[in-house]
Amino acid sequence: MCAESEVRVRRKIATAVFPLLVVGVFLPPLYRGLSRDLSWSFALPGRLSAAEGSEAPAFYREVFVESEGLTRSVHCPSLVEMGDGNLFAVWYGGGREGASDVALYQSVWDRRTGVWTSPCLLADTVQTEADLQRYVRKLGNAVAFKDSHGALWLFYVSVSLGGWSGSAVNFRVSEDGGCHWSETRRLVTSPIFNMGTLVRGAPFLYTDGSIGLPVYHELFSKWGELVRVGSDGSVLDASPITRDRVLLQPSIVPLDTTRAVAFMRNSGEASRRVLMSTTCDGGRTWSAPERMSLPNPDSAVAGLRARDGTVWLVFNNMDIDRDDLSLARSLDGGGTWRVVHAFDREIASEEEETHGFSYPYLIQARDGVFHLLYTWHRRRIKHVSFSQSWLKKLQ
Amino acid sequence: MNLHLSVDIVRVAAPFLLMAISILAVFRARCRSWRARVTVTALCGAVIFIPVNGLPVCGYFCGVVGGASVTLMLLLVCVLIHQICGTRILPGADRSSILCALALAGLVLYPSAMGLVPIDIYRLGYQPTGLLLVLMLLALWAWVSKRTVAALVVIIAVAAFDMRLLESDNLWDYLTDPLATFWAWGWVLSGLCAGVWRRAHHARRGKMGSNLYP
Repeated sequence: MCAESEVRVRRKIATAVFPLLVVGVFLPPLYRGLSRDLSWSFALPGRLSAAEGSEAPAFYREVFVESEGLTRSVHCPSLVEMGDGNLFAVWYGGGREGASDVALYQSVWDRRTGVWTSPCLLADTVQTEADLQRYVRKLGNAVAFKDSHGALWLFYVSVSLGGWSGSAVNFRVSEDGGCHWSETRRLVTSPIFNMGTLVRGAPFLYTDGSIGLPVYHELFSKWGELVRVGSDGSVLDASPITRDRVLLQPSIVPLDTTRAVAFMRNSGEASRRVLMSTTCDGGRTWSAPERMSLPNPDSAVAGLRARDGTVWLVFNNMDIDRDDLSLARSLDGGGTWRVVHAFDREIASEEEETHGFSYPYLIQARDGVFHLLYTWHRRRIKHVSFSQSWLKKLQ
Repeated sequence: MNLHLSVDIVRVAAPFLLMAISILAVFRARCRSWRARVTVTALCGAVIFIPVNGLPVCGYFCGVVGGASVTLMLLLVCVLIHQICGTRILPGADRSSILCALALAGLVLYPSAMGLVPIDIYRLGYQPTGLLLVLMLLALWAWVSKRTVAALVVIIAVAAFDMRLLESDNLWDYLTDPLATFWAWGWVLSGLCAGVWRRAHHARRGKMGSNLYP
């Protein structure tokens, strides 16, 4: 009798405890989820004053980042303006794209002297493997970014298995302008062994301080996505830009606080054009991609909204090769385009194999000057800087 | 708890469990005593930390697989305990419910993650209010229908997500992963094949019986 009542009491306790357990476990994340207010409002750089940029004399300069001799091949440069106005560049170099000796290198451009420092190693497979405590076979694309607190972020791709479709995105943060970097951490952006995600386009800021990171997926099909990264490196959300299977490397250009346009590389069939998708709700949802008038030989493009509101696009102005890198202008937020300048153009003979001019990365510094980095024949990184006044002359 | 330490423990758990289960399964005939089985398990625990080219063995597993879900790790723990002690922690009904749920989740989640369908199911795991409500109902249903272990698996996965015990910030990564999905699909397929074979066998026996006694 006594034992029976004990069993009954135990059952009653279990009956009461289980719902309490469910409530205790589910309520905190539910509450946090409901109370979290994720802002979908882009933080835009301020407009230029009359004294800045537009009044600067017209100039156009070309230099190379001193990377020759360091590695046989270089590719995929990225650029960010630091707090002191100097430029921080990162790219990958090695024997060839995808080789195990590929590492990331950094260099700083001094705005007073106009000279790039000697490149130094930023990340390699050994360091990444040690930080992540997992096998890493090769490194790839990298993009640099400065957050709202002035910290430098480096997002870069690593592969453990297979080709680029086996990529994952990692990041490091530097609080002292690139002198010291945090341990590498990984962003989880795919449920399939966290494989197939790469970076290329320039990140941007939201008003809540989180980072909008354009990524693309290459596992089974190619499609672009916008990943929201919190200031602590957590992934807050991700919105697919397109699921069209042939569109990659989105370059997202915020036009105002809620509208943005994403320009994408087209890896589809013949007669390829740059593709464009738009958002009106801060990147939460995106329109179906539209073909632009500009050609795209399956190569990356770089878009930028200048502080006077003009949208600029650096792209390969050819149907097949990457032997022409040009600049196009749109005064209506990407609706219509006019090609205004060719940065580099080469007519290659049939016997000669060239790697052309590719992977442009365009920024506008706080003083209004535009800076463009791109891969020059896969051997060097070229830096072109020009003023707003020079651009006005083209118009 | 130190977040990095917890992430590291969870990271080594999956390769350890998989290795121990595989080795115990292969050497089942030789490991007859529970002491031998515990020794083999402990050895596996040591082996995954042996450095190969400067990286522990488990680092190669993590490099390829990324990470295992909490559900998979709990299922593997149940299998390992069964192999060592012979105690079945996971009753048949609970196991069926979990594996069916994993199989269904895999059918929905992975085509979406490959970009093959226009809807992004994986995105639901970043701001998972809706997903959490569904899981809460599932846990309560499992408990009401006396599948307590299955309910506990869901609860532990959600608690692990809330504490961010894995690298991921997405609830889906705590609930399922490709290895768990392959396991579930394999279980469902083998169940279907066994059912078809049994039906065919019964039909044959029935036919033979009718031939014997016309």
